[in-house]
Amino acid sequence: MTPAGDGIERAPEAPLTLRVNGEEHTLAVRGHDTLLTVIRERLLLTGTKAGCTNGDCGLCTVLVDGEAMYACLMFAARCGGRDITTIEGLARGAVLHPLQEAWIQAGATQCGICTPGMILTAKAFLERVPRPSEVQVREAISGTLCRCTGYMKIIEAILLAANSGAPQPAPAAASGH
Amino acid sequence: MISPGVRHVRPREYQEACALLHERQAAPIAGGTELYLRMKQGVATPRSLVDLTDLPGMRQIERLADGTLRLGAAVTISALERSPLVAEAAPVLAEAAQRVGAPQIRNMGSLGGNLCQETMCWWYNRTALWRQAKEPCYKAGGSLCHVVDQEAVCYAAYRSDLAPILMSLEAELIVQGRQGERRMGIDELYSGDAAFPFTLAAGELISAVLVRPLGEGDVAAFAKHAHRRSIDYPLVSLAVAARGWTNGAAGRLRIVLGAVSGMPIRVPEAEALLEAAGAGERSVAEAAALVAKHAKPVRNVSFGAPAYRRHIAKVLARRLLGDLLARRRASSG
Ligand SMILES: Cc1cc2nc3c(=O)[nH]c(=O)nc-3n(C[C@H](O)[C@H](O)[C@H](O)COP(=O)(O)OP(=O)(O)OC[C@H]3O[C@@H](n4cnc5c(N)ncnc54)[C@H](O)[C@@H]3O)c2cc1C
Ligand code: SF4
Ligand code: FES
Ligand code: FES
Repeated sequence: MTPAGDGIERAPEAPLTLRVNGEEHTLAVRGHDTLLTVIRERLLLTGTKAGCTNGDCGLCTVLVDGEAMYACLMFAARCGGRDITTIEGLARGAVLHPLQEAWIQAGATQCGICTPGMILTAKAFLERVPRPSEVQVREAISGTLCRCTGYMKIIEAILLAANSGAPQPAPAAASGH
Repeated sequence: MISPGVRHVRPREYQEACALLHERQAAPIAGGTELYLRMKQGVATPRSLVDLTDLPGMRQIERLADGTLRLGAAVTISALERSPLVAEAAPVLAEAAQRVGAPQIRNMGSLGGNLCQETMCWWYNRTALWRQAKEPCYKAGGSLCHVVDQEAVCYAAYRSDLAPILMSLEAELIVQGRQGERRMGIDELYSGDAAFPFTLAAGELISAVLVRPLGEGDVAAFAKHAHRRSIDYPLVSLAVAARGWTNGAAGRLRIVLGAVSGMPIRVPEAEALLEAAGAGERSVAEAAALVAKHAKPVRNVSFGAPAYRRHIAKVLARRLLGDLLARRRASSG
């Protein structure tokens, strides 16, 4: 028998251990379940949004081993042993993540449906590129659609978080934008 | 509709993987970004999915002793974009990688999956109900095409953004099978029939792609035209690679069109025109016209009329080939 939680061969409905926001959940997933349906419907973490469910909109974006991915295209059965972060995993109690603060400060949310995916994308991006240019920010969020804000406030929020220096290592001189 | 009973297996050895793949209704999976959607559409119905990502060397990028760039087939598109080894040996490949889909697709999607993505057609890649409402076309096992009705030919489009540039660089593939491994040119991957585009046999998989680095005097470029800069598939793309181009050598050119046929299309007549000594502005215009002539777009993608896509093919060719010629002249002048 192979131990659960490693994404290796198992009968459908066999239990799988998913690590979401640092917490382990052992649950039976079926072969066709996506990470998105498991997160939303089984773990009830509804901060992750379902949009097109075809890889076209980015609303379902979560972090898998620190990289932004579309949860709607991912079989849950293949996610055992991987580190999954959803928007619920960012705040520490009542203390918001600097990106969430920046979003409020810049007014980067209107209807809000793109917000979780955008913030998670920005988190992974700023960890890799702590002092980005505006062009780099535009490129980084280009896999998620926002039909409300026109993107300007979102870009502003990400640059704000980058320049607040909070989540990143010590800043060099602020880069040109 | 995907069966809830679909099995997920993750072998650690090639022999095991190939044996599993040889079973009926098994399919390889790496990122799953392309296969998942076809399963949802009901045009792929594997009963088991063989995860390739843990096979030896699959996620590795390295330079071999002779300098060859070896890319494991499960390397993600993002890894190609960011790899210092790719940037050093073939920066044009990183540029093309950067144009695939959206960042999230690139974080999930793999090189092998990109090459083995199925051809697509607006009339075929739909829900089962949509397909059932019409007579089945060639690709669905029927005897007509809903797009072009004269010949018994499928015109589904192969839209890989990495294939054209890898073909222009004359990349080779390492293929694993139950009998062991074999090596073939990337052009041998394609059958030429858009309904069944690949030549891989049951039980075979691609384990790596080999690229001879661009050296001194070599020049390569890639251009893609899509509806939007991100997320969208190419309406047309063009890759050019010239070896021995700016160092006074004879120079060998490869021109490859993408997304306008069931496989990447080389345009040897245009290559010969520009390879010839004395090629000038007129040769560029003629070569661009030849490139456009080889593009066979049909009305089966969601945006872009065929005439528009053929025109864009010519525009991309004029730009890339014009630049190539200018660089050759600058180096000899
Ligand atoms: C919204 C969206 C936009 C996209 N845009 C683009 C684009 O602009 N350009 C582009 O090129 N692609 C695009 N794609 C297609 C695709 O996502 C990418 O090409 C990706 O690289 C596919 O890799 P994967 O690992 O996810 O493939 P998978 O889905 O895992 O596999 C794809 C196919 O290849 C087979 N396969 C996988 N690996 C191997 C192997 N090593 N050997 C043999 N067979 C194998 C699978 O069985 C399957 O049939 C897009 C996809 C989506 C959903
Ligand atoms: S091009 Fe014609 S035969 Fe091919 S998938 Fe489309 S409708 Fe079917
Ligand atoms: S819901 Fe996943 S990309 Fe739209
Ligand atoms: S705030 Fe409504 S989609 Fe972005």
